[in-house]
Amino acid sequence: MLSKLRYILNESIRGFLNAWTPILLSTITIGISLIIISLSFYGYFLFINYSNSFALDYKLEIFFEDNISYTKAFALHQKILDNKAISDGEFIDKDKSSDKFKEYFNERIEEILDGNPLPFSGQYKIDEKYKSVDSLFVLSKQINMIKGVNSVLYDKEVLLKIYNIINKIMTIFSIIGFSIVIISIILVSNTTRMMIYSKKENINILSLMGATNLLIRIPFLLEGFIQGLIGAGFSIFLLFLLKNIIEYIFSPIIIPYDNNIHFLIILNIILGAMFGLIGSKRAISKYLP
Amino acid sequence: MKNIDTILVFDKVSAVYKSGVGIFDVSFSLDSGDFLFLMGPTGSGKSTILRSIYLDVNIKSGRILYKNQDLSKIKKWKIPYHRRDIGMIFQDYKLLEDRSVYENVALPLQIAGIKGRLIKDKVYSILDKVGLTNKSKNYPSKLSGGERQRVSIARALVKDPLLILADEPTGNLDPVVADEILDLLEGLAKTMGTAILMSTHNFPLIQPRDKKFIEINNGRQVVDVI
Repeated sequence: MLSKLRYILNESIRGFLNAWTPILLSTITIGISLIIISLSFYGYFLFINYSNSFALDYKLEIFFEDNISYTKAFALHQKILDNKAISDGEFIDKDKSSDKFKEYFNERIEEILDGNPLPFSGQYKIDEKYKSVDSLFVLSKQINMIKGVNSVLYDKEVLLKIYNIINKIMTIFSIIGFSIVIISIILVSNTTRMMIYSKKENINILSLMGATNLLIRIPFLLEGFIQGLIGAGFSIFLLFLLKNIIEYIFSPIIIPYDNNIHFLIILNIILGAMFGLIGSKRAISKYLP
Repeated sequence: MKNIDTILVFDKVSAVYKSGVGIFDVSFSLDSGDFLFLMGPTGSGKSTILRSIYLDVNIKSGRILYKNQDLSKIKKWKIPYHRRDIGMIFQDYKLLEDRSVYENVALPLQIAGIKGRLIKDKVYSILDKVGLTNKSKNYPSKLSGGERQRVSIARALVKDPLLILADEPTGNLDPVVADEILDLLEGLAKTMGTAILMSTHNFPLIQPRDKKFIEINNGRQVVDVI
């Protein structure tokens, strides 16, 4: 058994060294496709993290209609607090509004306008579970439909822009990533096919000497697997380099989000090995008897 | 029923390719230590007889008994294990050009999963028998035709097979070297008790020898074992 394992390993290494140029090409392609996939994932995590922190500080501001009474406005405030998407809120009556006005403009509104036309309003925090762009849209629509509510304000524009930009980037990355994955699988497959052709006579001899199909095929599969692993190593190295460069240039403005680094490393290794195996398996099934 | 020393029995064997050519109703047997020549012109079916033994061509009818096992009934997945049991020598040597002499001879043992140390002992012992110990690290491209065929013979012998199939082993060699190779094979058959079935179209080469042969023409046996 050990002797056979050694034989298979030797065959794979020998095949690897005999065709290192095409192998290098397919390895680099695997590496590039993994980098693109990793960046897409990283971008996605970054967005989730960023949009969460954005929503964390966000307060929904609700203004009630001008002509409603204090009692009615407070009842509306209570009703809004009952909404499960709202975790906390503060009712702002006309006096508090006036105080806030003074904070901003250093003058009381009553002194400027001979009265206080500011409406009753409230500031509300969003529950953790509902801190997403979609939930905020739905919630603001719901509250806007309540009779007595004049307007619901939040940073819709900014959130929408970020959401759209990230969506577009993700789509582009997905298309590019998918295309390169296919290209890398085809390249590994072609490399394996070339190796099979160049070893056709050797394969025939091995078969005559009594090598089983498995013994002939495994070295090719192993070569694909190794190509995938080297591609993953290449991708991890470049990603690490990129992270350090970003940290060096932009720190402390942007600090790369670290929490998913281990996940990305494991993802690279698994996907790299998978691409290599799929590519070589494809060639083996097609070109070996 | 043949005695226990009978290695191979061909019983009215027909094996046909898609094109319709092949062998028809071939019968003979081979005992331990026998050296049997398959004579006949190129394309007469000599190689087909050998290929039907290592199951590279389908047996259409008749029986081939190898160590009393009917090869026509052998399952496909067992073919590699059957081939491991037979030594093969070819006209074009069929050596792995990217491996040294040692590695080429060790190949059948590696395929069979023999331990490394045993392989080393066995390979050097066989290389000694064929006179190639000092060339063990050479690559086939650095060897003469005769030396290449010796490597091929060593590779066939290293498994201690009961049967060696030699398909025109002297076809690419000059008469002197061809004679040497034949001497070597005959000697091995005598000393090791290995049965050898060798195809050749070169009658002058085997004429002066003490020989048993059958003649094949157009896939049919025209002369029985003599």
